[in-house]
This record gives sequence, C-alpha cells and structure tokens, in this order.
Amino acid sequence: MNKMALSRKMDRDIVKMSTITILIFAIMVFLNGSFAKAGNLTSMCYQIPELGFYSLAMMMAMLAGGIDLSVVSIGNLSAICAATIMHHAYAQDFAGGKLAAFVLLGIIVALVIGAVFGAFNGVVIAHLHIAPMLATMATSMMIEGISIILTQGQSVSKTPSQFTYFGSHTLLGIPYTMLLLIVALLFTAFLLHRTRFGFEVKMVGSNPKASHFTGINEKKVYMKAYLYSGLISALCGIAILARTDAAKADYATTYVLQAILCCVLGATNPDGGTAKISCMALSLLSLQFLSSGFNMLHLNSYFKEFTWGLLLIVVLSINFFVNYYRQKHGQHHREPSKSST
Amino acid sequence: MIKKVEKSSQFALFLLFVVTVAIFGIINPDILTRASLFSLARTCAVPAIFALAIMIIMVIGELDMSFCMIGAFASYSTMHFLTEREMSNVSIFLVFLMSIAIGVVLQLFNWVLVDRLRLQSFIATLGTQSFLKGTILAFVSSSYIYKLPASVNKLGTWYLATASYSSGVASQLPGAIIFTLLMYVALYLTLEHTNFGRQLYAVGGDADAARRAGINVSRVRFFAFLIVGVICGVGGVVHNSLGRCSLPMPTDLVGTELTGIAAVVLGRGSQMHAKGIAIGTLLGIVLLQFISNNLIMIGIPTYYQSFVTGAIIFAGLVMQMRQRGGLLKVLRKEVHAE
Repeated sequence: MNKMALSRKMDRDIVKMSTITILIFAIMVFLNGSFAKAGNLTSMCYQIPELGFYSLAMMMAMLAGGIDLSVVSIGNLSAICAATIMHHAYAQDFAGGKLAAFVLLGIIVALVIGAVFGAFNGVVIAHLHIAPMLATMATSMMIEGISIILTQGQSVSKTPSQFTYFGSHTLLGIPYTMLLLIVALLFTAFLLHRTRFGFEVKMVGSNPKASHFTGINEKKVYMKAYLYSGLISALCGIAILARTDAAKADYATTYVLQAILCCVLGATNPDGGTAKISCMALSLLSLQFLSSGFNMLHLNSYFKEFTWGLLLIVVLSINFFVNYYRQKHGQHHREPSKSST
Repeated sequence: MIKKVEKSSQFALFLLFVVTVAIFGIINPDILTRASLFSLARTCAVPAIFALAIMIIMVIGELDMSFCMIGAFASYSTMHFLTEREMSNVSIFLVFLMSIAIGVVLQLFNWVLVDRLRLQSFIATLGTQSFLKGTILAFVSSSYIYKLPASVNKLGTWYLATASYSSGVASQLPGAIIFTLLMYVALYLTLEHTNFGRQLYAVGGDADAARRAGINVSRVRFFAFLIVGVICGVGGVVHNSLGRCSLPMPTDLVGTELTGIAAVVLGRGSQMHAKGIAIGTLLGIVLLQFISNNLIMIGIPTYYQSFVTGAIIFAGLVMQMRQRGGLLKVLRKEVHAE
C-alpha cells in the first residue's frame, strides 16, 4: 500500500515535470519559429552537459541529506590539471601513441583529483561531523584557492585537437559530451535503483539515525556519495575542457546555484532521501529551453537570472502547498519535519 | 575573571588573532602603525555590518545567501530613485529610511519563505538572491551612478582622524565606523541581556523545544528578519557612501556572503549558539580582513588569498569540533561504536 502510494507520487512528479518541459518548449517555439530547428537543438545539446554533470553531482550529495557546494571548484581544478598535462603534449607536438598516452594521463589525473577531493569532503562530513554546507563551502574556497595558485589566475588553454574533437563533434547527430552525460545518467539511475549502495544512500538521506540502527554504516555511505559527486564533477571538468579548450579557476561559478535549482526542480528532495533521474533530465531540458529561448529572443542574461530565481522559489512554494493540501486531506503520510542547519 | 575569559568560546579565536597579528607585525612592522589600523577600520566597516546580519540569521538556526544582495538592492534602488528625480539635497536620514524600508520588505519576503512556507532557508534565499539580482539588473538599472546625493557623499568623506604611512600615503579613519560599532554594541546588549535575545538563542538551539517552552517561534523569527532587514539597509548605504572609487553598482556586494558566514562560524566558537557571538563575529571579520588586507604587505602574492581564507575557515570548523568534545573523543567513540 505504502509502496503504491510512493510510486504514485513519483509518477505525479514525472507528469508535472513533463508538463512544464513541454509547456516551455511550446511557448519558445511559438515565440520563435526557428527554436525547433535541428541546428538549435544540436547547439543546445552541446550546452546541456555542463549543467547536467554538476546537477548530477549535486543530486548525489543532496540524496545523502547534504549538499555539495564544491562541485564547480572541483571540476575546474580537475580541468586545469588535465589541461596542463595535455598542453604539454600539444606544445611538444606529440603524435600517435605518445599523444594518446598523455591525453589518457590527463583524464586519469583529473578523475583522481575529483575522487580525492570528493573523498576529502566525505571525510570532513562523515568523520569530523561538520555540517555539509559549511564544510563544502570551506573546501570549495580552498580548492578554488589551489586552482588560483596553480594558474596564477590565468586560463590554461591549447590542448591537442584530437581531444577537443570530442567536445565539438557529434556521433549520429548527438554530441559526444551529451552521450557521456546520458551514460552517466543511466549509470546513476542503475546505481540508485539496482544496487545496495543506492538503497543505502536513500535510507541514510531520509533518516540517518534510523539507518544507523538498522546496521547501515552511514559514514561509508557519506564517503561514497561525496566521492561519487567529486568524480562526476571531474568528469564535467573534462567535458568543459573538451568543449572550450580552456580551463580557468573561476569558470562558471554560477553553476552551483543552477545545479541546486535543477535538482530541486527535478524532484530531488533538498532534505535528502528521494531523487528521480528522469525528472532531473526533464528539468535540465526545460532549463536549457528557457536559457536558449531567451538568448534567441535577445533578452539579456539578467532576465534569465531573474527567471531562474523566480522558478526556484515558485517550485519550492508549489511543493509546499501540495504537501500541505495532502496532509490536510490525509492523502499522504506526514513528511519528516525540516532539519535545521 | 581571567578564568571566565579563558573558558569563553571566543578565546581560541582571540589567540589565533593575536598570533596572526604578531607574525604579520614581525615580518612587516609597518602593519602595526596607526595608518594601517585606520585602513583596516575602513575595509572592515561594511563587511562587519553585513556579518552582523548573517549572524542574527545564524543565531536563529537558518542560513541566508541573499543578505548582501538585499543590502545592495535597497541602497542602489534608493540612490537610483533619488538621482533620477534629481533630489540631491535630501537629508541623510531620508536616504537611510528609504533604504531600510526596502531592506525590511525584502527580508520579510524571506521570512515568509523560511517561516511560513517552511522552505530550506539556504536554498530559498539562494533563489531570492538570483531573483533580486535579475530584477535590479533587468528592470531597474544596470549602470553605475556617478552623482550621489550630497549628504551621502558627505557621510563618505567624514573622517575622525588621519594618519600617514612611512611612505607618506595618508590614511583616514572614516566616521561611518561609528555606525558599525554602535550596531555591534546594540546587538550585543540585545542578545546577551534581553529576553528577546534569549528567545533568539532558544529558537536557534531547538525550535520545537522553544515552542513547547511557550515562545512564539514565528514571531521571534519575524523580528529577527526585520532586524536583519534594517541592518542590510544601513549596510548598503554605508557601503555606497564609503566606496569613493567604486561607485554604486547594483551587484557589487554580491559574492561577499562567504566572508560574513566565515566570520560568524569563526566567532561562535565551540558551541553552535555561543554566548558573546557578537564579539566573536567582530573578531572574526577583523581577522579575515586583516589577512586579506596585509597578505601582500608581507610579500605573499594576492592569489594565495582565497586559499588562505578557506584554510582559516576550515581550521575554525575543525577547531570547533575539537572543542565540542574533543576530536579524539569523537573518534574514540566511533571505534567503540563499531
């Protein structure tokens, strides 16, 4: 019975999100005829992965009942390290096997850095019991500081064209980075719904104390969740590097807010415990429709910021009122009360 | 008396501050001159006011990412309104009043989101920040204001004292620092010596327990957000008046939220809701500004600043955990539990 109610709620989220996405798409097509053209759709596909990866990383931390504000700084640091290594190959004009080795080394180093700092976040949160928000805020400042020290504030650019090929070309009409994002989304969905880790992270996120008493080692779960978040952030750094051929310490720091917005819009509970990959994919699409649509209408980027903030507040408020209504009419069990920082 | 000071939550921070100042002073004695102190006071005046705003929010157990934006919004829209209508002769009180009114309205909007709709304060106020930033840039104005009302300029160039560095560069002590200090004294007295202050701490400690103890939690939060609105309004005007070279820009305060939060985190010491948090916050902001002001004077390039600030906040967080029951004790407990 309970399970049925739960699945019905999930379905409702998907229906809501699909409606919003289709509505935005329809409005944009109505306002601007060329919105639905193949060229525009492809260019949107190039832009989606950056926010997509960061949202995915953010979602994992939120699912575990925390938040990860260091996703963008981890991504940038990884990209900077990868770019430095690959630039070496570019500058020395390597070719063939040596080039492949350097590119591979760059990617591996980036992923290792993501994993290390993700794990560091995990240790700080799980073992030192520092509130996730404050902990990741401090680590994000430190990681950005490291990036600035490494690059002295300059951007690192010029990587081998064989590597940037993957950021600027399509396979069967879909950009490589988009394919990578789809794979990451599917893998995360598999992880959440089919593995023990996925089950544990949801349980810990909804009630750490209860899951502790059922024998789940919540410290390990936190560690794994933040490690995963760090890895995905590093992946995002690599994808950005492939597309822009440059890495900078403070590239796109506004993605933190956007990633939170995307998660909350995509039915991730900010208090932890529930998330839905399909909803998040839809919310990604709708945010991209909005931003591309505004660009095509020649509205300035400030208007975009305004809409995003408004959207975040409105969606949260609607969620509240829906919950309130359901509670009042006894259709839904009581939500756990809000946890304070 | 000495024991009391030693035991207080801010003692560790105070020690950290003294050690930092001593190290900096030994490397470059010019840092400890009066001129340097005045310049420190100048850079502290505005961040200290905003740190006070986030301090109140953190005392009631919430987090706010929009207070800097609200301060900038309140002040910028006031200046914009006054200069558009060419009312350059208005008194400073009217300027403050308008700015405060706007700040209060916006903070009460936050109160509705956080208290009435029970949204997670961090995420909701992040939304407010983005929303307000978009509003002011897209609908009000996105340009600098070059001609401020005369009274605001006067406030900015009101100096209490002047001193000069050994190199001959003059440095003035701005009169606006009085506003900052007065606000600190007022809030210190409110928090530590009034019933309302106790209620703020109680709500922050455990809202449910406070409710059962007969405190009207919504009302306490309402007044907390109201006070924060006032602080934001004042802070915005002081910021605009002091910024001689940086003319009012709609969003120039945004991004300094972290400094304020860091100061409060450092200042609250070992307990989450410590006594004397106002003193701690002031110490915290002075420490952070001291470091960012003088890093370059001891020969460390400015691009180390972000890392050093992050490391200090991090050290503060870890130190608090240690004090709260000892890091080793926590770890030992873990070993036993497993």
